[in-house]
Amino acid sequence: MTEEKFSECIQAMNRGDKDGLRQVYEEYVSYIYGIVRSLLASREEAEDVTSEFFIKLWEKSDSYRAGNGHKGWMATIARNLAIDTLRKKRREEPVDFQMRAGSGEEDCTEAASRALHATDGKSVEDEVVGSLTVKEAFSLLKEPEREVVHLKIMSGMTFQEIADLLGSPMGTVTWRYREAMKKLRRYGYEEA
Amino acid sequence: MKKLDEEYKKACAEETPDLWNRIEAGLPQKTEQTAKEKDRAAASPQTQSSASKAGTGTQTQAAIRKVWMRYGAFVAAAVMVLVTVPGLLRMTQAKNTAENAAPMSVQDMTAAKENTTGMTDTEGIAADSADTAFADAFPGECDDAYSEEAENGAAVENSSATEIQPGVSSMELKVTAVEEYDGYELVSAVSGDGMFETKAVFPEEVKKKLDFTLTEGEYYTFTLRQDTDKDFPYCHIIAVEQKGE
Repeated sequence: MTEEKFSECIQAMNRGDKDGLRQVYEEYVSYIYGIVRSLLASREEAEDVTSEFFIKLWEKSDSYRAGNGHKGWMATIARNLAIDTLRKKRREEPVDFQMRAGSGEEDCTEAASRALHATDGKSVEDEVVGSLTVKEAFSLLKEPEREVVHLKIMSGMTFQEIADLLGSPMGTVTWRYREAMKKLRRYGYEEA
Repeated sequence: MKKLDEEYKKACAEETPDLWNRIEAGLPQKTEQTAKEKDRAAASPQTQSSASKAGTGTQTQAAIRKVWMRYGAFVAAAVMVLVTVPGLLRMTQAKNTAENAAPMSVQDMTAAKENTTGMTDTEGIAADSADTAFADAFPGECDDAYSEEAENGAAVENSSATEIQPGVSSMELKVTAVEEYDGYELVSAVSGDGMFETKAVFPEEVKKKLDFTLTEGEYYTFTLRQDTDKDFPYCHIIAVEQKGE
């Protein structure tokens, strides 16, 4: 969605037109959910926070000021909401991004880990390359690496914008991205 | 090799639940009046951009005014309590010292003890009142200190022990940059040990009062106030003094 289109949606929201929010929702729900999910272990909590994000967007649509990158703005709000939730829950241990597709499905980390440790006389790499789904491959990245790759792929923001958003130096962000890409290439994925 | 972007977007789309009904059910109604107000406030990007370039600073002033109108009374009450409690405490201590210095009968001692206890209770109540006033002034601020600092992609301040707590604080900081950002004059400053870093709005009215200009690399004593508007990511400079003043 372009900046202009997003501004139109925001103006529609300001007028009380839910269609503006609906368009933003359809375009960005995966992006926002991914950001939130990368910080929260529980899918239910991620759903709550994602819903809260869009409700807040509706309520605070007048606080948006065009021209500074709506994707970064939304990502910052989503991250803050997720971090607030984490604080409220007072979780101490770091949370892994485990993209579990359904309640009956097995944990991606476990699946990927099993794949990595499967030997049967073959090298680990032979075993792994080409066999991991993108979810499994992502579950093997470190949380900060996943976050950077998610933002890069889903928002198309520049590394500088991502660095500003995460409050990290740009060198750190690019390094995390490169490290993630190295790993992902090993699992058979390449950048477009 | 599989295409990462395509596969990942596809996977994300598959994983994302449909939350629209839930969101729609939770949306508060926007009244016509509110909508009109917001329409007035919402300007086109070009208009906002030119307004920013013009550097009128009206947005900053409006934001500050809004915050003061909303929380000024609470802040004043909290400050009053914070100022009076230490004074009462000192008076109590002085009184006790004087009484202790004089010879005491058992009755005197009992009375003194009761007085002390009485004052401690009062002090407790005063402290409680301060906490309450503070909590009232900044509801949810502690939990939400991180919350919604975002303003059009502005940098997120990292949460750390050095984060400015809600309210006013004064500290000596080195100016690292003074820049125009989105209509605000922003001062970036860092503490001597590098543990604390902040960006603060430098309001025109504060600037006018100074007989010096902020120089990058120089240390100043800043009095900063955390913005209570959840959507506003920066602190406000409410006073600046030159080092050694």
